[in-house]
Amino acid sequence: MPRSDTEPTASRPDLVTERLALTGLDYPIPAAANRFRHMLGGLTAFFLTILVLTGVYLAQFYDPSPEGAYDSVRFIIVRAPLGDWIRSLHYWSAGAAVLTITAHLAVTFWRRVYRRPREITWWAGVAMAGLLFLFLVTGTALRNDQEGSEALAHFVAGGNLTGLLGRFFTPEFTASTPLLSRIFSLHTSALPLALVALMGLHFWLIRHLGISVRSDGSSVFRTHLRRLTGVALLTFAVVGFAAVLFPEGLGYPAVAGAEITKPFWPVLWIYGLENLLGAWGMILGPTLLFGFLALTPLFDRSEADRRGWVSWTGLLLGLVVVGFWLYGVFGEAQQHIGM
Amino acid sequence: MTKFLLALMVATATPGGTLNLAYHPEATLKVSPASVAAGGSLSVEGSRFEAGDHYKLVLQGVLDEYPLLEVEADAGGLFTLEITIPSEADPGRYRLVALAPDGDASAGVDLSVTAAPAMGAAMADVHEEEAGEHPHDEEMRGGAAGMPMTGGGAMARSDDIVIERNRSGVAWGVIGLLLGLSLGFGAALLKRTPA
Repeated sequence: MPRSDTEPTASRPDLVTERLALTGLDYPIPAAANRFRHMLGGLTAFFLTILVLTGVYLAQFYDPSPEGAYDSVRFIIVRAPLGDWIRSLHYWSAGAAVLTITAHLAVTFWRRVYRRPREITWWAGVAMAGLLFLFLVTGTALRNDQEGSEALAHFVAGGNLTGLLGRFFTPEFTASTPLLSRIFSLHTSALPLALVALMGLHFWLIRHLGISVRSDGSSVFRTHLRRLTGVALLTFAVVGFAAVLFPEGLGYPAVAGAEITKPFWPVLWIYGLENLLGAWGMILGPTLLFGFLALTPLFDRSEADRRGWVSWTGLLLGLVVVGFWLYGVFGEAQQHIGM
Repeated sequence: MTKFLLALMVATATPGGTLNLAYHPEATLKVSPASVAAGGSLSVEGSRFEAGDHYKLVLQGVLDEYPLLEVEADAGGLFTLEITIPSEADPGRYRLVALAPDGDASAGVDLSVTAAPAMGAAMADVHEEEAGEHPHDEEMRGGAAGMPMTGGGAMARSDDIVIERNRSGVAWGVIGLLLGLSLGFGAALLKRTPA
């Protein structure tokens, strides 16, 4: 239908905005939310999306059987179209997601955003951080090289230590499917499903409870989203260049029973802890850290602005984690299983 | 978008690929045993092949391919022989295929190659060759106390293998385009969207 000259056009949304109802994104948010430190959660979501996309691509070439896994990773590096870069992008995006989620968690913890009414938003975030940790360790096992084999051996050792709770991570769980195949299934189906559910809950709560930022000015969410997309694309370029310049390697075929490699850098704090406690370190460390984070909203219910013991305990715990991480980085490789 | 997809299609072309889907449905190959150590032997039985035709038996792995020998089908389209798996074949999954004179794969059968106890050291040598000299070889081989060895003496190593990565010109182009677009759009979005 031809448009009438008398029809008002000034406030009419453009074609895309109208058809995708993008005006629904124009709800008000504090202007301060457009600062970088309030984009960390969004950046994490961006990198998780990159991880899903690159992961789907890698899964087309990966063979999750113990006999075929290693060769299929070699195939990805040597033959699969763009496979080497996409695998490296997967690796670097995982590291970037760890950095942004850790920074996001630290900022929100220090600002005590977990207090009423955002307890569930916080718990969803902590659960996502825990899931990301599981993604890292299951992903490492899939390499099925020496490092991957040691990661798998850690699953078995952890499973044996925790009895029924950890039985899933032992070969005894079922004789029908190898553990590596089940770890692959966990990495590519169960964990992503849980992540999407938690992310949905997290975003829903942020949308309806609002972003916890003190600000005089006002903006709209679409502006935030555009700036976030700009920052995300720039960081993607950085990560993409890193994947070109420092492609992820592959270790030698595994020698069963050997324990000589160090894990992916985000997990090195647990490695440091294992240097002290043996295999129990991988159970106690994450349990203590994530347990503390989960209980934080219950411990700190004060509405006063002054930080209390929970904040300082969290800071201390963070420093301890950094200490163990440094120990993991600079300490000598050690045998932990059977220590 | 179309150009990108075309570029991706070109990038996916594998000139040296071993895929050959033109199987002759009647011919069959059987191997016994289905799992054999590198350097070991197994018996191969072919049936329903074209009588009198010559076929090349090839062992195809994920990355490597080993031409084995040529065989002639008898008047009944049958052949039986014993083959030896190359000792340099890495452990893993393989497919034994019979290539017809026209190059088509007439039949194929899956088999797995394991590292023979006596081959452990050889396997390490193959990777050594692949990797070249490593400055920390001795350190790596020394490793942690109590480091186990395979039956043939292969030691666990914590470093990475040296591997020829797939970086064709087209792949570089696609990567450069993606990163360039990402940089450009990212900067433009930030510039055009005031905080």
